[in-house]
Amino acid sequence: MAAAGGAAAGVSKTYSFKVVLLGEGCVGKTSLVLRYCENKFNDKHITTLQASFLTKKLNIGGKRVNLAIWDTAGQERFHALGPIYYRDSNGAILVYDITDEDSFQKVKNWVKELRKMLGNEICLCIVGNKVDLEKERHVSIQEAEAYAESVGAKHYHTSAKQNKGIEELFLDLCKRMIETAQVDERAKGNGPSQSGAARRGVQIVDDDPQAQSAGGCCSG
Amino acid sequence: MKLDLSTKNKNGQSVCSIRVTSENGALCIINPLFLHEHGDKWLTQQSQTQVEMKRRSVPWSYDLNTDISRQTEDFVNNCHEIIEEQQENTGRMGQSKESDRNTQGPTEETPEPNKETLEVGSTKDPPEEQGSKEVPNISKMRKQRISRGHMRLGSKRLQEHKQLEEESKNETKTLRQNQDEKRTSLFQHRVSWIESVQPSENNLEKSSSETSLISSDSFLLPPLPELDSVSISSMEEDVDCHALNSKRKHSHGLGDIVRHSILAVSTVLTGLMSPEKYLANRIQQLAEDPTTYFGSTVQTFICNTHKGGLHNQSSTEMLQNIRQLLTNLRNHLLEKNEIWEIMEHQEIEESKTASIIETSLYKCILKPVRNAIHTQLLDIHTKDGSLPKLLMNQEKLLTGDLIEQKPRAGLPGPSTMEKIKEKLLLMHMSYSPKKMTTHLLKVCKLLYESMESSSDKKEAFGADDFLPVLIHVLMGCDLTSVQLDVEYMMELADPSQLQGEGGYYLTTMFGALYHISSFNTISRQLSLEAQNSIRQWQRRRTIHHRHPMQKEIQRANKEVPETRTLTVFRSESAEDFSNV
Repeated sequence: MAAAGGAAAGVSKTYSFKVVLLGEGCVGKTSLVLRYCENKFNDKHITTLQASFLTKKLNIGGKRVNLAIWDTAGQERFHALGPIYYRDSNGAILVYDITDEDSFQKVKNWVKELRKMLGNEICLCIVGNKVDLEKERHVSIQEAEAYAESVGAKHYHTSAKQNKGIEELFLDLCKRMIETAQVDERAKGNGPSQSGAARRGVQIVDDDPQAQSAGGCCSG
Repeated sequence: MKLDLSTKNKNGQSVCSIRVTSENGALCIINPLFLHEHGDKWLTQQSQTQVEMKRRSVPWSYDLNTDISRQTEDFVNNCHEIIEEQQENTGRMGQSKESDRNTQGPTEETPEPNKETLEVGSTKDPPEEQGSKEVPNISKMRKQRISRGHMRLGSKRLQEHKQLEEESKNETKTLRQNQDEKRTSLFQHRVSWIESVQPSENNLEKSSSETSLISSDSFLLPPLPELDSVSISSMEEDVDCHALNSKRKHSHGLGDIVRHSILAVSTVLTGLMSPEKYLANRIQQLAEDPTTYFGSTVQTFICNTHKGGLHNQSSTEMLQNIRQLLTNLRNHLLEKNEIWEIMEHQEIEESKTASIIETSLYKCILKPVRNAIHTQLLDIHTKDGSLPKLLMNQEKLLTGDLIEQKPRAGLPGPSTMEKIKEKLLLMHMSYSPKKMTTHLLKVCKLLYESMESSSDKKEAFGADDFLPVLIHVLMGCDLTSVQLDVEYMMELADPSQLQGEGGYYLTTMFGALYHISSFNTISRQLSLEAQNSIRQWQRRRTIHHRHPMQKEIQRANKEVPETRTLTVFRSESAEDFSNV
């Protein structure tokens, strides 16, 4: 990839992504994200941190990624608060319980709303959780995967209980978000986030305008 | 700037006295025997002139007009309410500690007004009387301190309280009748208010020795804790008043004195040496110097604000203008050679500088106008009906359907509720959005702790559990101040501070308040106004709008409805700074 060449040329770059977790209560959103963040690389004591807001640092192919994962309350009465949380998210993880058809219907509603409000800039992941309860499955794999494809989302099968498919889910999501961000940067020319006066400020994203032209050279 | 710690025994004799002046950098420790022989009048006489000089150096505080008077009146009234509410907490604590009082008596008789508030609970007065006394009491105590030098608070204190309360009541009556008298009588409050806002902000949280330090001069405290990024996990366990009282139970009078003295000296020394503080002080000086561009901008803003410059604006407009001013001035300072020289000379890390500057700007700009902003927000949201609606729904929920809404995770017990209310009050008293966010996170931490202790759940709690508990708890709190504080934080905090945990929990708080205020509406959608306010906020929060420089702003104007906001400060853009 062209931009990867630019990044390798000594440009340190950290992406900060916000990912929102949506889905009905009890589908295992919290367990899913806890599983992901509760590993030896994240030695922050979970009990103090709790699981409503979690962060994770990743390094994907030399690109540093800071993930901020925003959990939402899944109860129906809080549905109206959705936009408060998902605004300006780079990614959304929509979780349903494979044994609960209603929860899949909820995911469909969220997808509609997200596409309407945020367009195609947000990376959507539809996640069928609790695959350890395969015998009680009520949502067919074919139906779910076909639906995901039809709305431009990716589908994943996970089990928070058995720690299955979670790492892949987040890794894949991060890669897609990086791609989207790069496309976005290119579309915006030399990147609007930097200018001279801001260089001394505290900043996470360290854009280099030259990265763009360097990328152009490589691809050409 | 001065700091004094004086302790007396029952006969009113001085046992120990420490006095520090940071103006000339002198630190002087006085032998208690000397004081015993010669008394300490000479000390306090000196301090009188110092206090007067300090006042003269703040010209805008004399810039009185009706708006200020009105705000002051509101503030005084607010204070009465807040403190009355607070009274219940301290009162309860105090009762259980009554037995300590006799042994602790001498150490408690220090002349610090702030300490006074802390001690309120341990006196046996009826609570209603004490509560409403606090504000005039502080001002009066200041005055006495100036005129008489050393305060001797003993049994006389309570009498003075009563007298003072009556005085203040009379004052308020006269105010409503006569406009001219209003100005002069409130002038006293005005001065005391400026001097005592900071102390009362801290008095519930810190241990007594720290409290007296802060109330003497907050300038001397090291700024380091503030530089930490805001996060629940990074927060230290703060010493609250419960812990403080239980500690004091076991300490003797003399031990306390020594401990206080050591604390005082070490704090002062750290304050004088810290490079961060040096930079912060320099910025403070610049802000008071009207010959610099920075100083004149700050002073003009404060003056305008007190002259009613915040009127005729929407709440978002008003707060965004202020945020823009903060951002512009921060960038201006970051470009200044002098700041760079200080940084290099003091070996301050580059990454910290922006944070120090931001914090200093809060002090220069937000501290003097915090109450004006609050009054204005209250006014706007009372008029637009959003606050009455929120409070009406709060009442409905409290009396009606609350059982149905009861969260499955455990609710905090009465003692945790008191702590939560204390934290919310501290949040309300703060002027720095950063500090306020810290208090907010402490509230969340308390909630999680109580949820944990009252449930068998082994795993950490997510939003499914947390939000219902938060809503339930907020229902029992003063929603007016919470609502205004949330808006204040959302708009005025440095956007980069709102990326993490602070931003998440602030959003959750916003959501909880929105849920309460829209309780009766059946709609599954957010109202247009709410969506709009979130959009504006989040836009400024995101990566692409993190440092809205002039060029970007002009580009952004096409898509973001912030044009009006920015035109006001367009003349103060970064480019113009270089011409000054």
